[in-house]
Amino acid sequence: MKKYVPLLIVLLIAGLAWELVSRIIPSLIFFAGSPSSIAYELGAMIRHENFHEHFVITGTEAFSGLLIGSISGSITGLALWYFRAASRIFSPILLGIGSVPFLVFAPLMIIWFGVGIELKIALAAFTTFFVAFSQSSRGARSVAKEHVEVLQAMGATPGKIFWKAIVPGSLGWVLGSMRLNVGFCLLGAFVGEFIAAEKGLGYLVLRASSLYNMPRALAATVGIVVLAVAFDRCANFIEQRRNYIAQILSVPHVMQSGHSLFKHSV
Amino acid sequence: MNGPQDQHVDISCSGLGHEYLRPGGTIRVLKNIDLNIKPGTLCVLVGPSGCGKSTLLRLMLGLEEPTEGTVTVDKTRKQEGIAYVPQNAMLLPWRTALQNASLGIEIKEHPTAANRNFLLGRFGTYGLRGFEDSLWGDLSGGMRQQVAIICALASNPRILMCDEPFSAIDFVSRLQLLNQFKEDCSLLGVTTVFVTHNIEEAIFLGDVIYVLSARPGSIKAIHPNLVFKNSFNSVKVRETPEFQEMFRRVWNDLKGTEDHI
Repeated sequence: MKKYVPLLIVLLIAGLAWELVSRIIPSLIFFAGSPSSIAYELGAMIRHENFHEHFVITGTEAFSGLLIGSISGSITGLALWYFRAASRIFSPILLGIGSVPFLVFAPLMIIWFGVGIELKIALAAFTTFFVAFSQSSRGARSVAKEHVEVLQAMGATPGKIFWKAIVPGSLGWVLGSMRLNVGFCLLGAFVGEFIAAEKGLGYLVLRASSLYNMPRALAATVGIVVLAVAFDRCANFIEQRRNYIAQILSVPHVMQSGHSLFKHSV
Repeated sequence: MNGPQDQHVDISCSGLGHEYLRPGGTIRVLKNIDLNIKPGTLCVLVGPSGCGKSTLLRLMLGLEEPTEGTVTVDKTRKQEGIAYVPQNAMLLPWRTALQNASLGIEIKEHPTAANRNFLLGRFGTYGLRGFEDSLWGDLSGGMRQQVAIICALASNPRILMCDEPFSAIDFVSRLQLLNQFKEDCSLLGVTTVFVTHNIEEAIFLGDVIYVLSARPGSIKAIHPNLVFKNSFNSVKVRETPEFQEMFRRVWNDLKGTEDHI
């Protein structure tokens, strides 16, 4: 914990300076809020507005989208290594769709998924899918030639090569894409709430800013920052255990080592 | 000379040659290689660096297609299993030492607790006890090579191909490993192709020594070398007059190739 001391000191000084300036020029609070006014609004929302409910809803939307998009995207990317003929057809198509800004598809998604929580999950899943897809297909292609050749020389079938070299070998890319996707899934959920919502942190930000209540909008933003940091820490925890996950996925049970998820060596 | 169809040949090359495409033209690394390797033979290919030894091995393994001639590996032998020890043991970095050693078995069948105990025993024999759960990155170059050899032999292969497996290992450990390796190979009766640039290693191990010339590599001399077939002590063997004589002969062949460059 000692390494965070300088960070906390800097945050404290910046916060005090912000507060001091807003006390000297009170009109600044209207445009940029101040730490005390943000804290006040946060407390007010927690007491009167069921803030935790909005927080949980945005978190659920983003997390569901992240799971659906990351997992299906990674599986698609890896599977296209195995089905090389299909890859020549589908890779360019998927990469093409993935390079279009996802907001373009939002109006269609309203028709398909309505304006409820499904829309936000779909938008979050949609954005994360393409990141996971492009990263995992790159990962599959970047597995060291030597690793594949050792298995090939010993007579491994393409299926064995896939499970024992490609899947575990591209896990670094797959889990890295999950970390990138922390930002994208929150963006998807947030934009979904901007389009149409009655609940969620995006809805709180939108409503507060339309009432020119800057401290309240910033207080809701704090909730999103908390979600982002929490997701990122989880993704980091998983990413650091990629060797262990690779072993679980590709090594037969009888050969598993004594390592565990919490007592790991990287 | 025996044809590829001959039942008593495990690996056969005829008129084998290979060229690599490089920017600015092709590089011819091998030419006119004719060789037949009989079952159970420990065959050593010795030659100067860059003479195409490793390429010859890759062609035999089917990792590359020859540009001239043919290389045939007996089909049933192929099905019974080929093992490969690459030059810089590139096994899988996310696996522990023991898990890497089990790769050869895993490719053939689903490993059992008996396989695990067997591998643990091999770790003891090779002096690797205590490193079973170490990740690949935590092992020294020598240890990795030992694990690669354990892995290759544990699958009980019919054909074993080694590409300078001991070149990264210090001298003392190498002498001990050589003894163990030769004993294991002769116990298994595995047909072995062993590539090296170390003449002493070649004479101690090989039933047949093929001396390759400098690039483009071709077979310069073939030395049958059965005197040491049943000696498993590389230090004692060095002191015999037969060893000295063979060393002189191979050295003269190789010296000629070096002068050529």
